[in-house]
Amino acid sequence: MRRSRWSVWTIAVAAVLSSGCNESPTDGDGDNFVEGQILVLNSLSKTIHQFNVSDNTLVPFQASYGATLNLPANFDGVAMDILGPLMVTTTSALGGSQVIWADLGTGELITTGFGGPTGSLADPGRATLILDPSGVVGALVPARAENRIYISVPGEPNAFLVATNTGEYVERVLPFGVFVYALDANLDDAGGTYASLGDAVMELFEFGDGSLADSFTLPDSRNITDALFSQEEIMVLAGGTFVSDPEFAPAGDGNLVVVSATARAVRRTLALGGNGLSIEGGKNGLGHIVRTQGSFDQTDILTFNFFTENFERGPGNPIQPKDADGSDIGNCRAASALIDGRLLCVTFEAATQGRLVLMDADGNFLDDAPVGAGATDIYIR
Amino acid sequence: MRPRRLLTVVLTTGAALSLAGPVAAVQDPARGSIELEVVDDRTGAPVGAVRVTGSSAAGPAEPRELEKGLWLIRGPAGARLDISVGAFGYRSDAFSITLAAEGRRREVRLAPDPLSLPAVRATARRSPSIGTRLVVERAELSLAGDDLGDVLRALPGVDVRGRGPGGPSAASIRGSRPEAVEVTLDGIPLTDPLSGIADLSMVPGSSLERIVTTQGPGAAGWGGGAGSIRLESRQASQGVGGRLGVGSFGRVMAEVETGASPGGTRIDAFGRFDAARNDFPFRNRIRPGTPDERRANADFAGWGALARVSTAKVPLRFLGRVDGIERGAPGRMGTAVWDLARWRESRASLGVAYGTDERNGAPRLSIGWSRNRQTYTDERVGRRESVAGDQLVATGRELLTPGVGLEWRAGWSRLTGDVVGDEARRIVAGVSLRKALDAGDGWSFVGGVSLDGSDVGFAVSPSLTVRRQVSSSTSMWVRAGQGYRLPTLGDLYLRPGLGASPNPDLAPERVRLDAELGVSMDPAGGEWRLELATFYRDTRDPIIWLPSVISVWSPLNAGRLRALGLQGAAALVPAPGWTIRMVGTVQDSRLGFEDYTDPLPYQPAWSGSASAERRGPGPDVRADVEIRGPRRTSIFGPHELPPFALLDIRVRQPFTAAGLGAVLEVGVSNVLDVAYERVELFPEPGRSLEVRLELGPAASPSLQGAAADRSFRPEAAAGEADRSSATRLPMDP
Repeated sequence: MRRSRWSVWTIAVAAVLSSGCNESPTDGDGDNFVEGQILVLNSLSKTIHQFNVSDNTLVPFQASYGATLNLPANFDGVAMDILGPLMVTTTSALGGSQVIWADLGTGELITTGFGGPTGSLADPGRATLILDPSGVVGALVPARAENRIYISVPGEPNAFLVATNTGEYVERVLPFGVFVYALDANLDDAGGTYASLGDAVMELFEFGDGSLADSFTLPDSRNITDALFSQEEIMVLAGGTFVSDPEFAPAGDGNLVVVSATARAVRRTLALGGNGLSIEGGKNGLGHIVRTQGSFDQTDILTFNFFTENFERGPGNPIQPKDADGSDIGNCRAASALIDGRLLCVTFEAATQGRLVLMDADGNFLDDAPVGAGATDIYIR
Repeated sequence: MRPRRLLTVVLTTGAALSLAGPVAAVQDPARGSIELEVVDDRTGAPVGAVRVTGSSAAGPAEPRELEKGLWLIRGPAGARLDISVGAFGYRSDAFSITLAAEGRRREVRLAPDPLSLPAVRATARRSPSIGTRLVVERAELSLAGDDLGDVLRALPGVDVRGRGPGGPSAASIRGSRPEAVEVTLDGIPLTDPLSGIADLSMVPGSSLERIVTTQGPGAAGWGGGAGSIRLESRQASQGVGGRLGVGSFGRVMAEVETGASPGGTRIDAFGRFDAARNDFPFRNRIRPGTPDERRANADFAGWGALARVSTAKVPLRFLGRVDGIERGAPGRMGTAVWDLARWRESRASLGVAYGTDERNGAPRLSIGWSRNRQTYTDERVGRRESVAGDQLVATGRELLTPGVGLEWRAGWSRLTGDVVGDEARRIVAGVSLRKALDAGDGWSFVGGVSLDGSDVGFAVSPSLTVRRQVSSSTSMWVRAGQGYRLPTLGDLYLRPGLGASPNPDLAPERVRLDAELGVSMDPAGGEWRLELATFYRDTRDPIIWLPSVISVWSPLNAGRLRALGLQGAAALVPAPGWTIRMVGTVQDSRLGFEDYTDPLPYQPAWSGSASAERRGPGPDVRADVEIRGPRRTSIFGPHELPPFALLDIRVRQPFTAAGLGAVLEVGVSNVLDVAYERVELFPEPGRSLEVRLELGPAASPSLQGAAADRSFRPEAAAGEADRSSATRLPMDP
């Protein structure tokens, strides 16, 4: 039963992987692109938009199902992961705790659930796609309310258990060989306040039996929002705290914590000089952190070099995205870069459609295109 | 022996024991007698105003009415009498009898025979009101079910949506948001000061006497940028009556009412209880392929009571009313997050009104107070929040000079509780002046201006209506006006917490233009009627709640809200006792920011309803069809709910039980078992059955064969042509 449905997806993934998906998005046959290589997730409009770049111009990609992929009505996630034509995202306990799979080529959607003790209350966090040596694709998913880690497989009604007792609020899980790193944001979800209970905790579980191999605290790390894996290091974005009354103003205590996955220790902690909203790995080899200092409507971009383990454009000289008229673009929510260093950012708009903005490496405007409302994630494949 | 007959025997026996003369007369062997008990053949109730004649070879008899429906005829014993019995509205009966010396009783059953009267035409100008006004009376509610939302959906330009049966529901008018509709119950705002939305599920249709909907901005102090809905509490019938009902998914209901007029003072009271499990099956569409599930935590139990006293010598009216509901607060399908969340709400109101009719220059004054308490609990996360609101409203209305009306209103409201940071208060005051001018040749003009002030802002709202009576049966009108709506106390004072933050700097939203152009055709004879109106409303700086980049929701004045549409209503009387109604609305309501516009959520581009109703001898029957077009579910994205069509059927059959008038009513809702949602991911029940039994005076409207009425009747047709006010005092009429 599992293979019969699963094989279609596996074959599709394998086909795209073998066709050379790592080429630059500018490598189209003229404007006849076979797929969109820049993908934007719009959390409020519950859609995914696809684009390509041709001569400093953003070209919306028209798939067979149209320009937008509509996610299910109960979707409320903020992040996605993509492998070839396969996209995975999650909807929280408010929407019924589901892992949502999409075939970006056909628009087909499949949902899977959680068969754990709380079922629809599992409250999944960000999903991370993994591919086993046999070519089977799955997604590592933290169940924040259950403090468990699952692996979800498209075609199976419920996810499989990987590990239990994973801290207070695991926001992100990352595969590392036969281990799984769990990033515990340490928030009070049981009490319903979602307040920070302290610094984040990193836990290492064995994939096979789910046993805890190691655990250590990340100093000065409040409100972990995301993490990136590069080589043997994990870059953890600790977004920082905010003043809750009445404006929810950022407190400016965000950090980037560099963790050695092999040494199982913190290597460096770099202050953001503000609060961090997102971190994305660009095709240029840099990490791109969207940061805010004064309010959440005034953001800029920091870039981080994985090899030097330091900022390229740090808190002292951030990249300020510029609009066509030279004014600041202050509402970038997520940013990334093409292989040649050109920047992309998506703006968060609730009242209107957001924008995908193409800029040069210094943030100067090149082009923009409308996306949906509430853009929260960008992915370049 | 039936009670009435028993009573007659007891009285007759008593009279015989105390009055020797009559006893001797009855026992006179030379005389004979017979008692005729004249009853309605359909219900068994005594018939009044009966004509009884009798004659014999010896001459005419002397029938005498002992009490309603009971006649005594005397004559020589053994004489043969030809008797004729008739009554207004009944088929006459004639028969022959022989008078017996010992006296006998005979039941005469008269078959109802409704009279066909020539059409009586009353000419009245349309009410010079600010907006189109639609009136629904209780007699029309009797076959429409108890759901106030269902009643309102049958009106043109009105939509009601809720989160499933038993859950809160809210109305919108002509493509508006629910916050733009002011709802009052007996003159006191039903609108929640925190959210700005009135929950119609708190007030079942059976507790109402009249519903008046005004389409267009309200008058002074009443807000309602798009319109208002005025609910008036039920007046109980004389005597004692009640209603019991059961239905699918654990539905039970009971009502009792009583009315009396001692010494000219009118006193009436009404009480109700209503509950349901609402554990209906539904298909979980976010988990396709899984078996049907049963709705959880959608149960409710509601109760209410009201008492009213109207004095005759001094025109004073007192009204007290309490309503309460305890219900589950289920979430969207597919999640158990809210499976233990409960919502409890109660509302109490008191009011007194003085005055008769301002048309003769006498002022009308009223003052009302209400207290509302809401408590939300969720055992799953140990959450408990409550908020209480108090409102005090005083109104006055007076005719200054012929054609010039003055109306004022002052209100004070306060919120206290866990969800508002500090005690939140508001004072509002407003006055409106209106002048009507009959220019002759069928032209009439009504101009008005409302001045409103509050701690949040000040507004001047003019309006002008021009009407042309084209012919005796056709009139046209055009109206333009302005309005405004204050931010809610929740917009301004909601306690900052996780995911929400108030905005104390909000300004009122302004209805820059609300206009309509309409035509009404109501030809002589009354066999059909047609009304069409096109409308346009432009609201600037509407108050919208939007999330920030970190998902903190906050209100702001943003963009522009425009609604454009056409609504129509038609009624047809194809045969005596039959009425067919059709209502339709086509509209485009959009919320725009800068150059970007999107359809307003849950406002269908097209919607309508149709009903066929038969009343008269035999069972009353009504079939309703409701259709709703596709509706966007969010301002953020392209998701839509599909269109649906529903069919409801209700049947009533009057009968007699233990000498009492009774009506058995059976209703089937969603006959075609359609799966649909009014709010995304909140399922509605499929086919459901309801059975009700009415006893006593409550059953009388149908027993008397009340004529089918028009569900969208303009208020002018109800004989209120001179009532220029768009509002009524608390406790009216």
